[in-house]
Amino acid sequence: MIFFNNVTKQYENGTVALDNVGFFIDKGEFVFIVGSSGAGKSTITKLILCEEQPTNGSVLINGIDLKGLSHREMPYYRRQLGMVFQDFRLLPNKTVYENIAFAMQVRNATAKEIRRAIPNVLSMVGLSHKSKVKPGQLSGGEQQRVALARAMVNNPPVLIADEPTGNLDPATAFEIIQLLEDINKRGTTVLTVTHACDIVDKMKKRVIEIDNGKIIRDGVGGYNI
Amino acid sequence: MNSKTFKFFIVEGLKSFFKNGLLSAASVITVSLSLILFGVYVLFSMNLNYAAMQIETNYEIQIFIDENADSSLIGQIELGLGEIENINTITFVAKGQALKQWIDSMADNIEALEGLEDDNPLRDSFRITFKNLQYADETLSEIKAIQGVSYIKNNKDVVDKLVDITDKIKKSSFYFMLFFAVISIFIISNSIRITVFARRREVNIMKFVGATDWFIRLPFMIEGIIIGIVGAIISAIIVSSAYGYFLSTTGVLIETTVKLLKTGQVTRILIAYLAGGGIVLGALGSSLSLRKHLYV
Ligand SMILES: Nc1ncnc2c1ncn2[C@@H]1O[C@H](COP(=O)(O)OP(=O)(O)O)[C@@H](O)[C@H]1O
Ligand SMILES: [Mg+2]
Repeated sequence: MIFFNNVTKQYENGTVALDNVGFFIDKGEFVFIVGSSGAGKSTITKLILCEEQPTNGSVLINGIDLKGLSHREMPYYRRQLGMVFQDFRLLPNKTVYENIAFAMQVRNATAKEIRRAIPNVLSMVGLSHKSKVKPGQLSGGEQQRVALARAMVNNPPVLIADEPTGNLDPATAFEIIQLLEDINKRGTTVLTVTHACDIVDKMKKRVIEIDNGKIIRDGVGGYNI
Repeated sequence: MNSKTFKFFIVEGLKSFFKNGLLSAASVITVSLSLILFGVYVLFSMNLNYAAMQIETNYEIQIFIDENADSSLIGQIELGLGEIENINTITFVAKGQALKQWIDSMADNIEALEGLEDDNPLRDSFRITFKNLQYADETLSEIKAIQGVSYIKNNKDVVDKLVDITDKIKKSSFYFMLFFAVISIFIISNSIRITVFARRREVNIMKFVGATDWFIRLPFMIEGIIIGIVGAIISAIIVSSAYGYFLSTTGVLIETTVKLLKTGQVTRILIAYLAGGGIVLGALGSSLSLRKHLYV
């Protein structure tokens, strides 16, 4: 499903963010990517999102080398991915409902499809009662739930979350991670970048640990074993 | 793309047009300026063509016939003239008739002209007009070749000079217009760039939820086109009312020589040109900034 084949990423300024990184994530897996700040975690998500290209090696998604994607094919490829970020990235002047609808409008969904899909994802993240509220009136945890609903509304096979709990208190963070686990249980492959060691310890999932651009651990267990 | 999405684009474009207030206003002003020049250019060209048409149909040359030509030679000359394709109308002016006209125009000094009737110094002539003034030179040499034609009086030099001067005015107004068009494209592109910057969050979100380039660009293009259309409306109002004023002042003087087009005859074409020009400027200006700042 997600295959990093000896990937090296050197940015234009010379920083080597990833150094010969290789891993394979199967369909339906739940994987944590951990490591200190600047280790290269976000670079992995950027490579999957095709925002950056590897300097060496290749990234394959479902057997397709992302290097071969043309600029035209890019948006259609990105529709296979749900993305969630630390800063939520919601539009402040749109309501919860409109924020989610936006992700569907972008894909030319009809009004009928939008009306049908949004109540489903809102109830999945437990925010059915907040659909007319603007993000500014929501707590951080609620905003991240909206972002999750937006990422899932088009039923992508893969969900990438880059530090989804970075701005949340531990209890709320745990709720979000549990939501990610729910999503994973419905069949979506979930890749979560995180700093929250206690949560990773509790979940007992596969952990890929990056340090200074290199994988130093890849196995099931807690944050530090 | 369905109609709902399109409505969404128009609304987004309008919203950011008003949100950008000052810059939108600056863009609209420069677009209006260049479109005003464009409008002046269009009106000038249209009137020039109209005047050329009038000169063409009214432009008259006079062909004088040999002093001792008899009526059968005159008849043959008329036949010869009739065979020339580019000649539009032929009018025979007998020398007696020409003299009478001349004397009438000199009514004050009538005594000095007495006796001329008996010894007419004038000649018989034909007045002809052309179908197409462009081929006047060829036609003139064809006329010269007809036996019995003595000489041809024409004021083609004057017409040539006039055409030359108006041509120069036309060209320089064109370059002026081009200059302002470039400036307005530049200012529009800056205005759109500010919108792109203000909405970079939204653009980023669109990008990672899988929007195509066109979906991302269209609202910005529409904003540019709205600027163009507003500029077109303003310039159309200014140019057409200025033209009305011109017709009622300087135009009156010019119309002693050639007729000018009435306001009603030009508004529709003018509006079409200005709207087209505004849309082109808006689309060019926005796509310029989008190409640079919205590579997604
Ligand atoms: N666009 C960029 N240009 C240059 N260097 C970058 C860029 N993005 C990230 N880096 C550098 O690459 C390294 C890894 O960054 P990142 O993948 O964001 O780390 P993490 O997400 O683990 O904190 C860091 O040293 C960072 O400064
Ligand atoms: Mg990061």
